[in-house]
Amino acid sequence: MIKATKNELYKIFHKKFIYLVLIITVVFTILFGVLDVLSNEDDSYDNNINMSKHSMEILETNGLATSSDYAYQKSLVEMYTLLKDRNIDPKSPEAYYIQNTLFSYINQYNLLLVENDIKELIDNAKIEMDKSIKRLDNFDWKELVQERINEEQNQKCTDQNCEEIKKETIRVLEYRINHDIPFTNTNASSYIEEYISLYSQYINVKDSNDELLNYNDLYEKKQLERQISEMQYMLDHEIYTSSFTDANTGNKMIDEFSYPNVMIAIVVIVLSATVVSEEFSKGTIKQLLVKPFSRNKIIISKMLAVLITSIAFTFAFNIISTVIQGIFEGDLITIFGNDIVYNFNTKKCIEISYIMESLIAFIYALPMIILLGIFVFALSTITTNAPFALGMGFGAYLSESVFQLLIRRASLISYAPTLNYNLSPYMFGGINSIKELYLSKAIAVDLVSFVVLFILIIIVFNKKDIKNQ
Amino acid sequence: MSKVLEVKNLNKYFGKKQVLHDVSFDLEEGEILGFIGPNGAGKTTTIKLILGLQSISKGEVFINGYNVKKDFSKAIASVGAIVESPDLYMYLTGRQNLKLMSSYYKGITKEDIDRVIKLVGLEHRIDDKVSKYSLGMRQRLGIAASLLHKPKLLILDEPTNGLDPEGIKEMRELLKNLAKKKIAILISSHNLSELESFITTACVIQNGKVISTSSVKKLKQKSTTTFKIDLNTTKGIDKVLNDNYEIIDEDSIELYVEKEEITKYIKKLIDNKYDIYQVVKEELSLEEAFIQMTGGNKID
Ligand SMILES: Nc1ncnc2c1ncn2[C@@H]1O[C@H](COP(=O)(O)OP(=O)(O)OP(=O)(O)O)[C@@H](O)[C@H]1O
Ligand SMILES: [Mg+2]
Repeated sequence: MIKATKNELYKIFHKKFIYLVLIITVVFTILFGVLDVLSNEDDSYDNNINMSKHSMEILETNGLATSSDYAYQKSLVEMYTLLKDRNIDPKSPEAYYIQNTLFSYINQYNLLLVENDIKELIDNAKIEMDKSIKRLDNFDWKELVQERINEEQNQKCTDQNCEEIKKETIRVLEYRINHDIPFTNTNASSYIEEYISLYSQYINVKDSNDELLNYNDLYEKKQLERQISEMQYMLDHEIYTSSFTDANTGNKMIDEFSYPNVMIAIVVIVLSATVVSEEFSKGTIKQLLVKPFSRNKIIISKMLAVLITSIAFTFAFNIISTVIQGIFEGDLITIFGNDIVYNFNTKKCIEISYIMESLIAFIYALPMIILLGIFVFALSTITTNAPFALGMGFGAYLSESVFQLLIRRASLISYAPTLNYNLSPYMFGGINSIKELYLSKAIAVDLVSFVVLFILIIIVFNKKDIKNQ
Repeated sequence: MSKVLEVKNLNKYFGKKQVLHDVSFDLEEGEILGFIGPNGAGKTTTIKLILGLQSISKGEVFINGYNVKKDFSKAIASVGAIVESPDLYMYLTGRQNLKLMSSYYKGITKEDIDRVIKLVGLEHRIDDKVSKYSLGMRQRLGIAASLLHKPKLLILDEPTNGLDPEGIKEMRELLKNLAKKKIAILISSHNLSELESFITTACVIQNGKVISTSSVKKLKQKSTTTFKIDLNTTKGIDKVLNDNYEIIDEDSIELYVEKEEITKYIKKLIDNKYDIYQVVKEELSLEEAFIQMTGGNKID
């Protein structure tokens, strides 16, 4: 059996197809990387000023010089001019302050101006704006944070939830000061803002009874619990990288391994469709069948060879595309770091290396590769018609999204193997966003599909008459 | 001599259509059996049944005493075969093909591979991709592959397809030599003239029925004999003879009669004032015998 499987692998790897796909993949991934770099917009202040000025001209010629759009563009011009004149580093807290707080004052003022509002209002807005601009002279972001803390403290709460949100917000704002995290466009700063907004959502669902929630709300609640837990863990451990806000190559690697993409599907389907049917169409099956091997051995060795190649290809493909992406993003090194993973069962976060997590994701996604492969393999063995098997294979691959839409109308569809063959949503105790899909059902459907297809292949191949060419 | 192949009352149905009717024959060590029949007679089907490539509807096949149905692996281990066309992997080289085939058997060495390459005369092109081979070269490689494991029974379905006259001659020599080494050979063809010079037995099949099995010598005797007669003229000969002759030219005819009757016809010609210069008994070729027996190459 091992020998026969080795022979089958020998044949597969002497065909150009696999290498061709790998090369195409590499070329495409590089191409996308290059396009990404090329399409990176010119984010200089000058460019932004010019763009907004251009918009203003268009609005003017269309007689829209008194619209709020016009005010907005005018404000942008003024804001970027300010940034440019003061030579402010776009990554600094000042830049962030200007683009957020100050901008809203500028915009308010301009809006009143173009709408030609009461003079008193306009004057007031100008005073507010000038005051904010003045702050830039000896800018201290900690002062701003402290002001927000004071605002929070002065807020009057009437219920328990409000109190909790207030307490947590103040805690995190103090965390900013203590950990020296100014408001900027950095991950750490974004996380803290994200955390505060999620936290208030979380508090509102925290104490709801799971059994009384409908499935969607329960799903949302679990996701919130996960996000809050992960963010708390990150803040506690001063780790500021995660897949929510910005995905690094480490995160992308896990995605690649969790959801085998279309290139992988193509290879698996084409391989499974051709390995048997090609021997029939070229007649070489006759040579194979007059060897002192049982038909069982011959067909199983082919099946093994297809599965081994598919799995190996998937692995190689994911690694290659991760590496290329990492090189383009310049953060390949992140794949050696750790990810924070929430375990839905223990409701705790653990740290796990990206590599380890990818391997786990790979195993959870394996049923997809195996079932897709064996399904196409079965069709090609039964019909010996490669185009038919190919077509059905792609149909099955694409059916997943169609079935997901139809499942609400007919819950029987939830038994479709393609809805159950990727187990990665269930990693670390996760649940599927669709109520009818859950881990134990997925495993049962996968096993039954595999066994049925396997038996079908064996029976059909053993009974098969080798027709004349 | 021991029987290498026994085919007993093979029947094959495709749906309701019966394509083989009680096909039986034996093959012994060193024997070369020509399996002869027109297109669609059932040659390939019989061979596929022998090799287990198609299921037997009724009947039995024994190779070296092993029942093909029940002891497939043992039965097939001593068989080398080419069915319909040499089945090779086009994307591999000749040598890679042979290596691949050899790995299905135990104990085939590199020397064995070199031996068969030399035997079929492919030394110079063996490391080229098979997709670059001519049909004749593929036939040779196919034969080499089927000889790798030193089979006791060689089954060749129309192996002369695509071979030039020189190639056919070489194959004849090769097969004769193999037969001398006690290999039994089953070779099918509808082109008799290629086989008659070296097969020892002919089995003629038509419409799925074996209509004659006999040694080649006997087969030739069974039929009428052709005599070539040179005479002064062929004018008016139609009044003397029935329709068992053909006019070759102005002064010679071919006459088809039983051997014993020739004197009767010569007498008749002399009585009618024809001058006879020469009477030559021509050996009947197997092909002619074949056409006589099957009534021509009718496919139905
Ligand atoms: N799969 C099939 N289904 C139905 N009939 C078939 C099938 N295969 C073969 N036949 C029929 O069986 C008969 C014998 O075919 P076979 O191929 O054995 O002939 P053959 O003697 O090898 O002819 P040739 O000299 O043309 O190769 C033919 O009438 C053919 O039409
Ligand atoms: Mg044939």
